Amino acid sequence: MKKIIAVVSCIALLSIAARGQSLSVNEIIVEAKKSLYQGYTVNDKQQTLKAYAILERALSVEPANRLVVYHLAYAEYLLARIAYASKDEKIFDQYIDKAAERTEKLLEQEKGWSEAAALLGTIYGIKISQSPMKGITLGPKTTGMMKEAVAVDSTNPRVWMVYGTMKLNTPSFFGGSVEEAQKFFARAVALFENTKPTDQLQPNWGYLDALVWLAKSFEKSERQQEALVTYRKALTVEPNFLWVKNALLPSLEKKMSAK
Amino acid sequence: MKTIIATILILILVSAFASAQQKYTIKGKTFDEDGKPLPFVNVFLLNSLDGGMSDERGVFSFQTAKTGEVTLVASMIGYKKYSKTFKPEPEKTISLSIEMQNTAVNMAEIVVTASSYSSEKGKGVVMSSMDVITTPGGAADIFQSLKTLPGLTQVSESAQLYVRGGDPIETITMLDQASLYHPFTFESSYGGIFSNINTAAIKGMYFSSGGFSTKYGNALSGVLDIDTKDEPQIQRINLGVSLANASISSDIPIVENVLGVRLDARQSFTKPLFVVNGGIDRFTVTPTSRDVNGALVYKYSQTGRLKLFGLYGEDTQGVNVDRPEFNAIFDGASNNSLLNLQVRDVLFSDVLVKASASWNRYNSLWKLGVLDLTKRDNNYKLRADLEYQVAARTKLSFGSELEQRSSSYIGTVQKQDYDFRPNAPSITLDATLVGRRLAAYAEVEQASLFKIQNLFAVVGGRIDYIPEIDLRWIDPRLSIGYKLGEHSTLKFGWGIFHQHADPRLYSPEDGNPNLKALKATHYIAAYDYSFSDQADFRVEFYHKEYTDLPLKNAVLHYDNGGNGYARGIDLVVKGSIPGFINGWFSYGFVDTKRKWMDFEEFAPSSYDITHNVTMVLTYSVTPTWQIGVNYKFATGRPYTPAIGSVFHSNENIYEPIYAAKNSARYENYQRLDSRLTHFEQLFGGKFTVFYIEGLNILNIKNIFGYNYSADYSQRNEIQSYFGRRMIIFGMLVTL
Repeated sequence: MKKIIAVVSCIALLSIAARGQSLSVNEIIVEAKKSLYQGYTVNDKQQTLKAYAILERALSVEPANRLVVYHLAYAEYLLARIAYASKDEKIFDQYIDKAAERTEKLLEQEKGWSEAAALLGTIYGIKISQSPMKGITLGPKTTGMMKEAVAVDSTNPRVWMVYGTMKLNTPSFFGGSVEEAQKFFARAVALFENTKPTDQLQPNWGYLDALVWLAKSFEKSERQQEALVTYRKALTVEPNFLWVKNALLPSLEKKMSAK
Repeated sequence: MKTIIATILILILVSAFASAQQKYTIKGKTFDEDGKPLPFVNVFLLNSLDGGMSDERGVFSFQTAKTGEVTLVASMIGYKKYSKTFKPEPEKTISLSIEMQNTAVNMAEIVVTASSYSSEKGKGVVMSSMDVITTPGGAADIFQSLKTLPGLTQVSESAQLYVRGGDPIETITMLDQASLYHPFTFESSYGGIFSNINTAAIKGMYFSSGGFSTKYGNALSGVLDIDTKDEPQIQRINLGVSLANASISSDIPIVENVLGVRLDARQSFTKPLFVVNGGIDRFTVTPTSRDVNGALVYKYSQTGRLKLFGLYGEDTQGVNVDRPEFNAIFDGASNNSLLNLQVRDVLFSDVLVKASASWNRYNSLWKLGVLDLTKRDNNYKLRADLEYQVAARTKLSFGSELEQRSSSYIGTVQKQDYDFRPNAPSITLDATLVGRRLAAYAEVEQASLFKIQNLFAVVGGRIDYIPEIDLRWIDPRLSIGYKLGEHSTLKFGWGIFHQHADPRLYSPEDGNPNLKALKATHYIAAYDYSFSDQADFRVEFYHKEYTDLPLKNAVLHYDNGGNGYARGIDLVVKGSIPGFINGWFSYGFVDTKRKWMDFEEFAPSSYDITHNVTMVLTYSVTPTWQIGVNYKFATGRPYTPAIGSVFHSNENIYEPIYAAKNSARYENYQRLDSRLTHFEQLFGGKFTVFYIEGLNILNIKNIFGYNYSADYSQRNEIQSYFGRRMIIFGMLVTL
């Protein structure tokens, strides 16, 4: 009897497989998130594009699924980052404009969703770095948005991180503060470390970024030893994080050894 | 038990095999326009998760079980989305070759209207609405800001567009396809000062200083084509207040993405401005204006949109004028109304149709001594424009317009230009001239001409006909461009441009109903270099030949014996310099002479401003503080000086004796405006802009004209009343 049941089960599984390798939209999101993380850490454009492709397909099935829209916009932001690094302005503009448009719409529909606000703040941040003139309008807008987002959800680490970047990059005369930025980054890091994701479909990016920003803020306030420790911590979390491994950490070490 | 298990087993097996049998493969190759394999293209079936990505060789393959009609989509950033609908035959492998079209080579770039400036990317040198708002001294006015671009000469503080040595009437203004005549406030002998189109209402604008498309007719020199905003997406109110005006703009979505209203209203009150800055004693009525723009937009389908746009503006002013024969007061008032209903849609999936019905009315009253003239312009217009993408590289545009314009001149005008005294001899006018103009045009834009990848051309023609005076003309135009590289383009333009004369010249009493249309032939060579999306350099050489200009004739009043030319160079560099500096530098050289109207000998035209230099720079000191300067230099304008006089004892007045027409020039024009802008979030995080603007901060005396003594033996300089040093401050809040 047991034998028969085992054979039946086996055939049933085979039958499901034969129906196709097709995943559900939720499975696509999980899959895409993994690819995006890998693509980001090792700066792999192809991996990021794969995630973007499957999310684009998921969007054609469920255009109103806010998580699909969100992750697609995040993928566009990461692709814009890659274009920015390779100084491809046209492609950068196209990806970042798409990401901004998508996220602005999302935030309009999902008013008060702190995740969308944090992503939009990140998108505006890179827009400002690419074209500082945009800081005139986008800078105050992002700071205001983060203030609101923090008030709505003070447990979202990504919001604290983006808020911190605005504090770090705004001159002190106009409300910027390295110390405050450090506090915000530290808070973001603590939230990342102490909050366990309950739903694997939800956004969970940003821990590595928060560590990088915290380290950068240490560097800015001449606390190089703490910056070094923080960069090393990022590498402990993700040994293949190439940005830190090949650029930020060696550069800091070089500076420190020169002293 | 065994029987049950056997049954389940059979069912599962049948199901599995049935599913497997329905699957089929879609495979193929993606490549670009040059036939090179294109990797990383996302190829998938719409409304499904089935798809694949092309590899390094452009090859893709995936399986699907979808049956019935399916839509395959291929998508990649930087390329137009490809889509194909088909009905697959199950069990058969489908092979596809997909050519992706680069969005960078779109038709917008191919529009070779050689001298275009636009607020839209891809149409030439870009001037954004932010540029309009932050141009120092521009008062956030589109016309004042456009004047900082090359090809537009700085004749005075007037906002009127003097294009490449042409008269302002040679440039037309269109708004959502409607013609807008007299789009200025304070129109007088000074010319209009500001536009009555609120910048907040504008979505995009396209300006050309020559060689423009056959879509635009009845204009000899330039065209300004404005598109207003569509339905608002979010509710927003903007409030502005300054020393000279107050404004309110509101965007009200009524049904999200379907129906919305936009309203913009402004009221100017220049009294505080002149009290603070001096000069109030010149006025009997300080210049005051108000205008309202409103739009109701209904998006009735995914592609269709209906827009009702209305505009009303009015102004009054009273100015003391020292004339040789008496101390006079000039009283001016005008109002302008526009109503336009426009529909836009895509028919048969790829024909873009725009059609509009509009009405524009303009009334003005000028009073100065014996001069008491009311002018009325009434204009009804129907217009349709169609665009059809015949093939990937070929676009056909065509359309037609029907315009009925009636112009009335009612009142009394001085008989002699030197005698405006209240009881001076005068001529009574009561004339209304009505005319219809029918026009049609067609134009083809072709990329990769003669299979040469970088060669593109636009060829077209238009015909205009005015039945009342049996006047017709045909305008052929041609533009050719060659992309020398990724960043640089060479363009050539040639075309014939006609325009009917000022309606009053067709009057049977003191004009000539048989006047032909004025004609200009444009020759343009341009070179563009784009450093990046935000930085451009352009140089243009042009020659404009005028013929059939109206010329005074002792018997016929006017004939078409006038002619002239305008030739020159325009160059502009626009962009951002690292360190947060943004701005542009423009230089224009023009040499223009004419024989027309009462210029019976060939002489420099009144717009012969040999050198025009403009430099606009804005510097962001911090993300929230911005400082800007706008420097303008222009060669002094030609004028005709009085060199003596004859006394008429019976009329007790001196008649001036003038030197040769335009034989002298005023001093060179120079002006430096500055602006300090601060962006802040106040009132609970509302985006707030504070600004303080210094107009003509060096207080350079720019002469607009001369006042002569009664016997014309002495003269005093006249400055334009907006030409002196002034400080304006204000703020703008977005709620």
